[in-house]
Amino acid sequence: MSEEGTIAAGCATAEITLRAHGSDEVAVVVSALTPSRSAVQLEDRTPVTDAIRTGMNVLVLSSSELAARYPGFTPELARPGIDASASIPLVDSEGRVIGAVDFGWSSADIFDEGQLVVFETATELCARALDRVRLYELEYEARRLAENLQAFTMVLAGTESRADVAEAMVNESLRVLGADAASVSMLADDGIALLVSRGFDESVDQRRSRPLSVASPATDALMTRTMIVLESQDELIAAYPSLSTQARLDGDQSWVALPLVLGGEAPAVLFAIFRTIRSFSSQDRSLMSTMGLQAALAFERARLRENDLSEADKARQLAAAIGGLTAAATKVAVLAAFIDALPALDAQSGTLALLSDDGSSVDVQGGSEASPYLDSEWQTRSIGARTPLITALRTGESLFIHDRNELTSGFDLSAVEMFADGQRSWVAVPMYAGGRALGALGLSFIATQRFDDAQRVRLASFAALCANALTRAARFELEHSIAITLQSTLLPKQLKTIADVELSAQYNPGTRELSVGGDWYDVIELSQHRFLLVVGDVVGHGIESAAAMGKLATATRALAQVEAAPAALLRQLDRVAAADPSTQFASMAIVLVDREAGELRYSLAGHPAPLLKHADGTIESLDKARSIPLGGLVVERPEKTLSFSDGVTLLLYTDGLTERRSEHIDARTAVLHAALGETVIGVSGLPSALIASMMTGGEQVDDIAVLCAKFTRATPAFSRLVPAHTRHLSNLRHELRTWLVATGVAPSDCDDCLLAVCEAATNAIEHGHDSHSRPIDIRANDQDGRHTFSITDHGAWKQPVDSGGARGRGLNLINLLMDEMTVSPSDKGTTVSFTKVFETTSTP
Amino acid sequence: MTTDELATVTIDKSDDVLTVQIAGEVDSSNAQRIGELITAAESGARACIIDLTLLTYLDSAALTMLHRFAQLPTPLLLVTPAGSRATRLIEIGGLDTILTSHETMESAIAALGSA
Repeated sequence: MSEEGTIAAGCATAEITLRAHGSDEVAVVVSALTPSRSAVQLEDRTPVTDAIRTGMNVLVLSSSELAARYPGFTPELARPGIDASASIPLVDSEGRVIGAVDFGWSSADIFDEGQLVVFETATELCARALDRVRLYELEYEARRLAENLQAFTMVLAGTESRADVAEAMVNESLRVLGADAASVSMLADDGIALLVSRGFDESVDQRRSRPLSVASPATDALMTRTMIVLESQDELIAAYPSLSTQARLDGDQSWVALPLVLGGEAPAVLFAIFRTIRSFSSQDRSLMSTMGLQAALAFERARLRENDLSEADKARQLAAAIGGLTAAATKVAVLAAFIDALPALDAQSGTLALLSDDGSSVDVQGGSEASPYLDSEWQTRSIGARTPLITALRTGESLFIHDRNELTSGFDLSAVEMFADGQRSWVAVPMYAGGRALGALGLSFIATQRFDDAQRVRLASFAALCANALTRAARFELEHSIAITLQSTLLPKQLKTIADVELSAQYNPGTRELSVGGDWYDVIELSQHRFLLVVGDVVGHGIESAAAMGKLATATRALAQVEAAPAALLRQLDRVAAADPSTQFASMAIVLVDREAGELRYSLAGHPAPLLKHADGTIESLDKARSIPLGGLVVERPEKTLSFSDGVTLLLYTDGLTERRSEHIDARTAVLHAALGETVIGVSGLPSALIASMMTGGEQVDDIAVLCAKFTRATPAFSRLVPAHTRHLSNLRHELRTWLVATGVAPSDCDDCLLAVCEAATNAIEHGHDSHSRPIDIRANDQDGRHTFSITDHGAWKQPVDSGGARGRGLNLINLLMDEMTVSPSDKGTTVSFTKVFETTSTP
Repeated sequence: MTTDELATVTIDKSDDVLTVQIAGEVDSSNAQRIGELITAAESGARACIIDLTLLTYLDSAALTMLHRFAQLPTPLLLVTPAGSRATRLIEIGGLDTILTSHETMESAIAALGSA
């Protein structure tokens, strides 16, 4: 509070002294005509303090009187000549003495009663003015409080999380209270944890989180749920002797610890420090407690909201995990879904224990959110092991373990299942299906669990879902393995070897569970020159489809011996399918190959068209003779004939090769055409290469059967005895070129081989020193896409010494142009051999 | 013009420049003889251009022959079209580092003129 008041009432000086607001102890000089009267204690003996204490006028009319009545008091304001004073008490509207006005004059002047009345009147006017000012100030203060609170309320209204609330509290305490630093800490498991901090040094922040047992204003405020205000270092040290050193180091002067109290609980505390001495008025204190209450309300609202959110998250996670369980077809998939569900069950890690078929042991594997698989392998444990999981499995009772003590005293943990460090509670829930124990689920929790009813029900339901999923998975896995076994027995183990035909086939089961069984391929030899290529696809998957496919494959083999024409054969198979529903709607592609006639006849029953790759790389689709899948309907089966030449490759496949959910079948067929057209791989590797190429960038869902045939008339090996003279080399080149072209090498690719052979032959001729009459033996053959050459002379091998010379250069060229050159000297002569792999016969 | 079973060699000397065109095949059976033919015509020429455009086959014997010419004092230029067998073998044999090749006779003659 501040006053300015000047009263000139026929006196030389006047000053107003007011009692400090709310205090009986200190009187303060607020205003004076002359400067520098300092604060006076109320108990000091001065005319003014006397006037204030007594509420009566104090008149001192001469300096001698002053000295007599107030020994030791020398008014510093005294100007020369001013030696008389009248101290008139200031009385407010409620009759309280709030100060005094001191008038001074020279004792030489005349002083009378009239003068005193003037002083009293002036003082009274002054008191009224002060009253007005005080009321205004009170009002102003109240409005300021209201505004601050309103601002604070608005800030809080915008908060969503508890951290937001803490942030708002910290900012507002800096703004409203003028704190130099502030923080909000939350009650944590076993202490207080810092939420938000501003203005503190980092080192101070580190001290903010601490156990409740360490006494501090913040912890005390939390424990006692009352505001703690310390206005000086002395106060702090008196209350918290252990903090004295730190307080002196930090140099802070005042402290406030404001608990956020709601419903008798204080979940958080605001701690503010002031680097200068602060006294807190009752308004300040009431503002702070109101702020504390409002913040507590906002804090609780944020907590509930966070809870709701995390509950909603958990519900979603649980729903997703249950979806995963429903889809799980293997025990690993069940484990994965279980691990996914851990956050929704509040657990950090989980373990799945599965009883072995004979019930003597348990397979255990677990994981956590962070590392889905603790062990790459399932661990096998004895059914007698005294671990929580196996105990729960044995007894059929869920085990709820509330703390580590309970865990270590009750169980043998040498076989560690799920008991990583840092966890506080555990549960083991047995899993039953159809009254039979399947295994147990173990969960461990970082936070201490109470295991209330809701949680127990949730865990039990989840265990029941897992048990169901495991039963299903076991059935699936069994059927899957039977289907694979059946399928592999039914498919030809080795394709028939047919002269001048390279054959290769591949069957891939689908990755989708049970995507096995149904697709097949076959090569049926009819005579020396005629054989059937067959690919088919039975509807459905699993054991039944594998069996149906077996029936159709057998029927096709048997009927083909009687009726080999594809269309007629399909009509026979229609009758088989009509009589056996499991084979109905199967699709088939049948191609009859007649090597002698150079003819292909084909018919398709609802099956993708086989592809013919010509020697020049162009692709022809065998799609002219299409009709519906096998079945009861009596239909005409069309048949088409086309002639083919050597060097063509035929591809038959099932739709698993081209099917992809997101792409149109035409687009995929075009991709297959391109893949087949571009590939330069020999037939033996073609099926797997095509599958790999088609499955790039996607998952193979369905099963796939691929059958490839390449018609080649094998070229007899090249063998010549060339007289040892260079004039025969030109003819050798001519003959060798003719042979290479016959094996399918493009003429433009022949030159390197001709050069290499002639270089080797030249060497042989030149160093066959002992006799020019003995011929050079030149051989070449073509096997599996590799051309092998050997040149043998009958002289002793001489290592070329002059690398710049013709001979060294010749060998060098062979090395550069051919693969795997070897020189094998022997007593009888020397053989130089090398190979060359031609990638393709792209141009005729 | 000289012809054997494998190759036809046409030699022309005008303006002190020796131009040799070899057509057909050069291998160990005829490389030596062709080399001798060219050497005989080469004396007194201020430069020699060997045109390999019409060569259908050459081997290390041909490369060796060219290598020998490259060591004579008479400047030697080759004519070997891009992508030809001769170009490829000269590169593989490492002769491109010591012999200058042109894609056409015209550019070879032009190179001599400007030299």
